[in-house]
Amino acid sequence: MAVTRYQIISLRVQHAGEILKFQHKIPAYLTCCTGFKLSMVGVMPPALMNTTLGRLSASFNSLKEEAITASLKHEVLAAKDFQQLEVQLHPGQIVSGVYVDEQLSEAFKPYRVNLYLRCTDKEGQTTKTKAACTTT
Amino acid sequence: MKNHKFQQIRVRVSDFGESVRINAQTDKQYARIRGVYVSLPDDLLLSGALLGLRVNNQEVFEDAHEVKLITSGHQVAPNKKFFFFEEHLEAGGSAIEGKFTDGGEEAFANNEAKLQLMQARKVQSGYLYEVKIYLWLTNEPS
Repeated sequence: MAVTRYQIISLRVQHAGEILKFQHKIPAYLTCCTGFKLSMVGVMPPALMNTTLGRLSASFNSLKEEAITASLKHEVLAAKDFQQLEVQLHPGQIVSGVYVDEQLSEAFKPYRVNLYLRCTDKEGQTTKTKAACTTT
Repeated sequence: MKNHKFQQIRVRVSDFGESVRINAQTDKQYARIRGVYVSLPDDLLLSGALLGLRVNNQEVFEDAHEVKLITSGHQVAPNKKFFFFEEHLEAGGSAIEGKFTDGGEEAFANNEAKLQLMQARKVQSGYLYEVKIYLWLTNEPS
């Protein structure tokens, strides 16, 4: 039976310009990641509306595949859709990456960044994503 | 026989930052859970609100899953509001367990007046607000 699971990598940004490294192990039964989403948790001053808060990059399969480079914007009507990803996972390997805060403003307030990875098991690929994952 | 039902699970949040356990059971007359929609009484409450969900002891959302990713605002048409599950989730009397976590007072950091209104409401009624979780149950095949 198809299985879709959301892996959440949560990072806490405490200072302006902070660089945070992360490593996350995806359960071995998940074999394909089909989407990702970056999300900011917290309340930002209105002055930072529509500005880029930071950038994130992530590599899969123990640094063999750099699949995500994305920026995090503070927007009122931010899209809730996941961006497409086509990564075949090697069992037991890790996702690692770095988040760099890019705020120069003195109005900095600590916040949290969540990276959501939408992953499926082998048979769990939907018709939309099956082709994408099997061709990589 | 009806093919669709929108089952409501109500969660009462008593204080800022509180985590509330959810325990429910899906209607036995429906085969699967097609989607979910979480309704909060104020958009500001979305900030930092989390919802974990398990169906028959299988994790669908981790406890740290943000509510804002599985809900939608007034700008979305009523028949487009639900988050659809890509996989088959059994209904038919399934056990629903979960945890709703409020985002805390920080959610109102830019709106002091609303924070005071919420606090006054808490004093009057004994709780802050009620979350409504709607499960879309159906008998149609996935």
